[in-house]
Amino acid sequence: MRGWTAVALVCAAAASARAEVVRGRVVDRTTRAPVGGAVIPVGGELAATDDDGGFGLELPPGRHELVVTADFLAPLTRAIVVRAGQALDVTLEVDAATDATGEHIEITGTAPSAPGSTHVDAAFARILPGGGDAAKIVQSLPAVARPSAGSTDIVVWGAAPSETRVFVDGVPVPALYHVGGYRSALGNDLIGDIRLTPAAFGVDRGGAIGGVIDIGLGDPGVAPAWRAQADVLDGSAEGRTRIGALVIAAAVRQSWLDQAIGVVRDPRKLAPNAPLPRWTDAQVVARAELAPRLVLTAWALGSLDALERTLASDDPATQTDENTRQRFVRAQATLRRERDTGDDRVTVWGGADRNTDAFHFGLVPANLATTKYVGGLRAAQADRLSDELALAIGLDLDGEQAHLARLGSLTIPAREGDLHIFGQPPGDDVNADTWRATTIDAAGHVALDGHAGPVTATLGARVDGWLLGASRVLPHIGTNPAFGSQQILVTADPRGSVQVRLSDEVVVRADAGRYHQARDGSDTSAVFGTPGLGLEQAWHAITGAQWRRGVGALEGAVYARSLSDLVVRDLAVTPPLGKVLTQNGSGSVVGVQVTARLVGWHGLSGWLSYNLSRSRRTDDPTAPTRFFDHDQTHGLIAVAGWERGPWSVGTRVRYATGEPRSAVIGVLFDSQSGRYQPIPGPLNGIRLPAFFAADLRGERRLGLGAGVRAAVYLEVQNLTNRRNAEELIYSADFARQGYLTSLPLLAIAGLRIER
Amino acid sequence: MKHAWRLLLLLAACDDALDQRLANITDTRVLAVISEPAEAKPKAMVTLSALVVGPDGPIATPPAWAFCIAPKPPTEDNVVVPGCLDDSQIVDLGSAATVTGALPKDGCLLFGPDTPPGGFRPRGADETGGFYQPVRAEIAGQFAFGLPRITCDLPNSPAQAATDYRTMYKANANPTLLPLALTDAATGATVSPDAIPAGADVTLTAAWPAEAAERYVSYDPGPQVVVPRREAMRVSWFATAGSLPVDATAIAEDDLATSATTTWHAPTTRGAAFLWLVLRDSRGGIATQQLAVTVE
Repeated sequence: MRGWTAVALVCAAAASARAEVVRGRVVDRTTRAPVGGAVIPVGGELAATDDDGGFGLELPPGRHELVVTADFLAPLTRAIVVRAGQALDVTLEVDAATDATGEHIEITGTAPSAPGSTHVDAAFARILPGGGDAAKIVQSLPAVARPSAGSTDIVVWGAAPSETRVFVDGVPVPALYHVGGYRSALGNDLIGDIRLTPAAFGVDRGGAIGGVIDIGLGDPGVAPAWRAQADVLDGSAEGRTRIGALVIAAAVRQSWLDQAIGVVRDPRKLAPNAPLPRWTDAQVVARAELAPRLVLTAWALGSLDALERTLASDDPATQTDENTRQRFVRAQATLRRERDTGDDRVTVWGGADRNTDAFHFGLVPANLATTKYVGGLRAAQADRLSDELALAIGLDLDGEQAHLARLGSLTIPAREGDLHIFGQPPGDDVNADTWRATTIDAAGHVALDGHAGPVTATLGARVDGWLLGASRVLPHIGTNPAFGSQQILVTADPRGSVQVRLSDEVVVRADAGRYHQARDGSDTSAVFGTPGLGLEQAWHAITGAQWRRGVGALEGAVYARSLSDLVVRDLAVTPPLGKVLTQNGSGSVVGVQVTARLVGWHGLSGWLSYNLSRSRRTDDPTAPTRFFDHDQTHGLIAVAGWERGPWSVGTRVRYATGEPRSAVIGVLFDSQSGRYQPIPGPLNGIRLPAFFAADLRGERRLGLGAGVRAAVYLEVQNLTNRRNAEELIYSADFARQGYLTSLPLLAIAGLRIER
Repeated sequence: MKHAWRLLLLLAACDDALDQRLANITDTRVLAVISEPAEAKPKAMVTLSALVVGPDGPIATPPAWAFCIAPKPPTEDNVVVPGCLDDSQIVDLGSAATVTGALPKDGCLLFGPDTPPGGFRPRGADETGGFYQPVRAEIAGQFAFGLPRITCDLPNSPAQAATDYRTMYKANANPTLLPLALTDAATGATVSPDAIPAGADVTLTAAWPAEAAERYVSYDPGPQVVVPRREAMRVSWFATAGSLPVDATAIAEDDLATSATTTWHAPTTRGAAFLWLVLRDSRGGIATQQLAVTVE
């Protein structure tokens, strides 16, 4: 096991040339008892399970078939994917020889790669608090700030949500969560693993200046034959079938939270501010081995959200109506060929997004309708040049054509850094615009990995060619012809890392790189934005050390992020025509993160992580520096999942500094509306109180016979019943201040049946 | 997205202690700042007055008046910038119950769509197509802002729309209120304001002439045409005693109703009380009415 310690932090491509440690445990599917004496041959490797069911293998990166055999077992063949630089823990659930039911595998692992990065298997994520939804684990990962209740924002190491990109098998998706944040928009049943790289990610990812979240869909061949799940939030169903060499799995989920609450009580009286959205998501995954070592995978996924509600008021001038629709679909096909010295992969993907947000704050409307058509191509090749050198090259092509229509106030939707007091009506100026925005990013990337003695180094570069277009540079006036904006930009971003293995247990590593992302197409209106916006830029640097022994690891990381050319509002009294946004914004993030991890110690896995950070932004070179809207100085999170026999228990405990807010230092009366308006103090000059919450989830599995298994689960959120402050709120004259608090203790029970 | 509007999605509970009802007059307050006329061109004379009240009835202390000349950037959510509270960015009009002054000549530049030469962004109009000159009334350290509507040209609009607007637009006039009617909520019988039974539920009916909700044209920035509209109306209710179920009642612009009602729950103790109405049209016109009542 000592060798495994060093392997875990080897940089990605270099590691691809060497073996990675795969540890595992074979257990009885129904009783969860360890199974000793089973044999697991893989290629030239052979392992046997000990009395605790454990085994270990060293396998090169790539896809492998694990075959578990013994006289007393039904043979089990399961595929795993070993990733470069990633140790892997697997749990293989087997049936007795007399039981000819379907096969199942669960992979659990929490091994880190680069400092601050975390990889979690979906099976482990599902036993943790989060409604049994695998992707909800992202909000509990080290480096991720505590999200506000109901928020879908993901803040990674002081980066704004729009600066972090979510990929599914390398394909960018617009949202990780459904509206309201109750569930993942990517479904649950077919997710295989989740990986967070909070900064300094590799050359194969672009278009983000914050972090990267990679969601991997699982092999459909290891999905249950069927599965159904229901709780108070929603219900889902999944099924798998095989047609020759083709394996297809599909899943669908439909919410009924709004109807379920309506049965019990009038939702408006239960929690007037609570969103009760409706959501639907569906996924289809297919995999076929076309020839030996040549695999075709394809998937399609879609998500629909709807939210309609009215926040009533004693005064119609302050009543808020909201009607939101968010829909997206993505599809991709990947052809992957494995060679003795590496692998080749080509992915073609496409999709569409359609969002409509219609608000009314009293008489002031704020409507935004967006239709986007997106698509791209990804090709990558990895080769082991020698025992010491590995080369990875790739090509990315991403395109987006957006059609947008906006009506309403300039200040809605609010932007990061806006000076705003909760309850304050938006500006009453009303404008309208329709426009198109084009964003194309063609990139090539290369990474060379070298290994010499205790030193491993990666040197890489990503060169992007950007085409940014907007349909109008000036506001639309009558039948005047439109003159659009087009710009071609080229960026060359160096990225790399150096790692030194000080001993079998201790590794130190440093990563750095430059990153760019294109402006959002919704910011290119000639009325509400600036058509000629370009690229935002960031430099990342991380250095860290990791000590590992057995099932435990301790990791420390110091990180810094420097942001420039950020898109911000022009604060001038009269900004130039067609230019109400500028790229004068800048920012900096510095922090320290210490994380202790445990993997598979008597069925217990998890982490305890403390993050100390400071994220500051400047909206203009002449403006004072301020705190980032989501800055959280201290963040402490403990996550643990324990599996024993038919039981699994997960818990999460979190403490976080309150987010910055702006104080009210005065008030004035607006005679036209008859309402009071707050005079704000310095932007983000005060903070919300600190947050603390503990959550618990328990699950009991039952064998129903004939291969059918059931599980009942109960999740209790906010065990201490603490009323955490989510927002500062005020009386109508802003003379008195209070807090909008999150819900008290909340229990959710559910049932899952599968075969 | 920032917290400001996303937090409307919170799964949360509110603090009942902050559930303040502006309809209850418990301290000195400005209820309205009125300009006569309600709309005028820059440099035109306007007469300004304020309705100031307290728990014991109307307050006669004269406000200190001033026009604000601190322009408002498009990123400002409030009706004025904090600079309007600064005496260096005002035009002093003196202290009196009623003052008359000329609207600043550069109102359409400071608060309207006019821009300096050089290609700048015109300010957006409000939902009714209006621009407003802030006027400050200061009473006992409280700042209230009235917003006389200023008549400005359309910015960046097609020639036909600009012509239509110039020829068809009629400046706003303040609405008028008919006498407040008090009736027994149960029987519908007229109730005398001098003899209201303690604890009674009294229906208050605010009515206005049909022409008070004026028809006008406004520029729709979406299709970029001038469209005919009718003013929406909103009645704010106030009382020094008893309770009112709502702070205000709205009549939408497609609603031809010329009255609004609410129910005032009279106090259970005898004594004098005051009721006020403030009628606002959607273009910034204001009418007020006061009624002294006696609860027996």
